[in-house]
Amino acid sequence: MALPLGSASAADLPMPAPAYRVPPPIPVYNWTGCYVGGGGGYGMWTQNSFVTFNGTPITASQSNGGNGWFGQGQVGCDY
Amino acid sequence: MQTVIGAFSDIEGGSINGSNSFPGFTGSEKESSTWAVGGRAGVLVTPRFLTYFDGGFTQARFGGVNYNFAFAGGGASGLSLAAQTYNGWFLGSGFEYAFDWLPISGLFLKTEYRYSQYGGNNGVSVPITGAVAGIPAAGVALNSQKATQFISTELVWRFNWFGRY
Repeated sequence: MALPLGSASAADLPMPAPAYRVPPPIPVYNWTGCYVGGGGGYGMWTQNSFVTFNGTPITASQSNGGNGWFGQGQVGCDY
Repeated sequence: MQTVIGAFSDIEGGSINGSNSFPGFTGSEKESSTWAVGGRAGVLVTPRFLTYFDGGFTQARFGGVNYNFAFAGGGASGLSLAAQTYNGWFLGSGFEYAFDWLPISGLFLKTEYRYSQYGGNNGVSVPITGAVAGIPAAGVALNSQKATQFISTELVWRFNWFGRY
């Protein structure tokens, strides 16, 4: 049996370097830990009220309310 | 599906103006501040989008009321209500979104709807003070139950202290 020394085969041909692409990083969002926040919003309040005299209601219940803007600040921690 | 639980505290300041009236008298009342402490639990619908529910304890500060007579041209009646802090609870729901188009990591945008109720089942009685036409309002009080609905949006910066990763 002849040794393969000196014989050429297709496997000996220089191969082009394999095309290699760095995969795009998978974004990781870390939802845990502590945070600070700031913002604002819009709110409304309503109330049901009646007048009492020495603890006894003397008027029917009234419904009132209002609305407006507010600012907000927050701290918290998530796990 | 990943879950997120947390605890938080927040404070709101503003001038949410409204009215406070009873037969014969009318005034304006302002909710000036609230604060809340509570917890939330949510699920990550996608790795960058959280939906959650929250709830907890809250207090609201309402300014004093000076009552006018409730007829055209009616001036100051002489009756007033002192500023008051009310205790209550809140329930809310919101969503939060991780964004990365700024060169700062850990930024999120959060939008929440919150319902708060103050005064319990029986309301809170606050004495009406002053006098009308020389007759003092002794023994007269206003009983009220208040509820608020807030929608807010916040920018959140999460610095990951005490985090899971």
